[in-house]
Amino acid sequence: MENDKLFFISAVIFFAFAGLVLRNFPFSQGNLDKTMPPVITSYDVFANTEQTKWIYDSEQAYYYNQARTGGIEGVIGTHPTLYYIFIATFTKLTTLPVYQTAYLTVNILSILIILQLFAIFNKLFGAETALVALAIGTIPAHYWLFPMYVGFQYDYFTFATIPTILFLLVHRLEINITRTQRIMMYTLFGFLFIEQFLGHYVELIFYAPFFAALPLFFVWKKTITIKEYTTAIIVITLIMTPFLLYFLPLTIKDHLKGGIKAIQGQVSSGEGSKHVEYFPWPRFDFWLNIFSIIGIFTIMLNFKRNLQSSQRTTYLLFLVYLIIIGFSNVLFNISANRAERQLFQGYPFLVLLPALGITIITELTLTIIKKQNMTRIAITVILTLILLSTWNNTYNELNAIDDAALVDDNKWQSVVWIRDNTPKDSRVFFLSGFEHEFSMLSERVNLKGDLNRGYTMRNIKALCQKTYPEEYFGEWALREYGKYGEETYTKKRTGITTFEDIVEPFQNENEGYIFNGPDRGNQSVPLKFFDYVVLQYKGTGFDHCGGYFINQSLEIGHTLAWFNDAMAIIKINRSVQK
Amino acid sequence: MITKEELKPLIITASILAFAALIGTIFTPTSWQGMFSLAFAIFAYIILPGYCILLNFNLTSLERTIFGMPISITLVSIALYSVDIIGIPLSRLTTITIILIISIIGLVLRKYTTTTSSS
Repeated sequence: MENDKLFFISAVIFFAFAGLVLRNFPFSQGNLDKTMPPVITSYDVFANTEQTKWIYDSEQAYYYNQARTGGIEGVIGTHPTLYYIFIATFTKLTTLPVYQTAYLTVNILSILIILQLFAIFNKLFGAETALVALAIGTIPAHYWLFPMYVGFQYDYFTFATIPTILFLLVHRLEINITRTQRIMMYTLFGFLFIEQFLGHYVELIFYAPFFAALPLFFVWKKTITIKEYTTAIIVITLIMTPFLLYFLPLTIKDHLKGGIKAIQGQVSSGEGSKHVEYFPWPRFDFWLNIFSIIGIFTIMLNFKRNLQSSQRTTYLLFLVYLIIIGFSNVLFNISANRAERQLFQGYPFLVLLPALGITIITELTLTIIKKQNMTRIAITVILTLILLSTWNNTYNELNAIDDAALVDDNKWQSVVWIRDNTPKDSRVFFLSGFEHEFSMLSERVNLKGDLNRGYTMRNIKALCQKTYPEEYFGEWALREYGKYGEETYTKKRTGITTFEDIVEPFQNENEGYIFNGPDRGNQSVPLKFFDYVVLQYKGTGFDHCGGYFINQSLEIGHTLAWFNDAMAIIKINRSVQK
Repeated sequence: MITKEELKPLIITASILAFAALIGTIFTPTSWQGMFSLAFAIFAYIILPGYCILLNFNLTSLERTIFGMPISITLVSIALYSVDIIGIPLSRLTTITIILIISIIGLVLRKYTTTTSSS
């Protein structure tokens, strides 16, 4: 079948595009020109989109959007930003809105990871196994796509480089390359590690130890020399050092305040090691489990042969390492949030097991019935079965997730109105109607009141009792800190580890209102702190309370700036006492 | 700098993307400008630079195309991250310039990376 290139390439192209459509279409409905985010499910999705749009609009990633920093301009960014730079600049080459490309690029990266594994399987386990793995990988059960639509999108960005490093390592073990090629390969390793660090450092922390230790195994086996290993370490260190020196002090100072302990905290503490409630269980269905057992059995049967091949050994060791990382919350008390995400990302690696099982059963069957020349037909049937058995269910489940999304057109119109019609330094209070910080897409400093948060119910309860509150409780959207508003912002860097012009949120204000944490919603501000209030007055179950707020606001001197069938925007007159 | 044989996968990939854009234009609500610009962006940003870099290694065309993609994304993004620090705007022009520079570096390096046989 290796010679049947047309069939082979056609299948690769078909499944790559089918996988892309499956991931994107249920959310975008195929309209990539639409200027509304296709995925509206969680905080992370909104935060990623907002940050990307800011970089796209301002054409720089050095400073944060002032809406993200409580209104302070010129604050140096401390969050790993490479992923957002990638999407923003990629979008620059298209006519599409960032709202669409922010999700589309994740879909592309997801397919890219699967394609890389396909190429690795093709090299190590044969074309048939690779094609079956490709089909299972591109058309998975819907829960395997959970990190994609829930907002763990930077995981895909950094994880996409893991198979690349693995492949280059396998390539090095297979072929004697020249000294210049070696230097170039290790230079690429350095950049790939830096991509992980600047994109979402968790993957670097998880996988760098494996990639540092594995070559030592091959030094011991005399596949590579100690001199080459040392050269690799030196080259990679030289590439990484300038970026570490530049970014680490920034992120340690703010985002990872607490130094090494905080970095450890990203993976090993604070979030608990128990299964995260809202994560689905990463699992194969019944038949894939059966085939996986056969696949494992096949690997065990060929254990000696596999060990003789450095390339197969590398892959299988990584597979074991990945599974250990995926269950490291159970095994080593690592944060489940971090550990379980690796299993979702590792799905394209894991599908080798059922793919091997399916291929072996097929080959065995064809041998028994003496029809080995029908391999291509058999593989075509298997690929079709995989497609038919999974596509509909996954597509419908993703559609259902989209239908249950948090924001409708009415709400989006109010966000767009704020974004397009108010001064950049306006402060907006989203009194009701928005959950999970969709309000951050208004690109304004905003306090949001979720109906799913107890403290913001206080605002609504007061209004329902026909009391126009003097103080309003809420939570700052566009947060950057673990403890909201408690930390400081840096506006000027004077050296590798030295910073000046460190300011607190709202310190440049002279109005006397301070909203600086430390916990969610335990503080409140008067209405005149804001320039606009956005609220849902219809379809909330508290409609008369919203109605009371609007009427009372107009009565005391504020004005109605905009409204539609469900949403209203009040312009606050700051000279009014309440 | 680049042989006809090495150019072929790039032409095939560009044709596949263009065909996919055409299909997308016909069967989805997305405009033809959106679809074709997306195809261009995937080719220019995600495929071209990494493919040129991997010409320096003895790989198959399929491997070069596939593994060139994460390498493209990595190198172009990091280069843009670096120019942003020194104040160059992350514009369309900057992005295209960076893509071209990395692609040319990939081709120029071929002078120094000679091929070798399998062990």
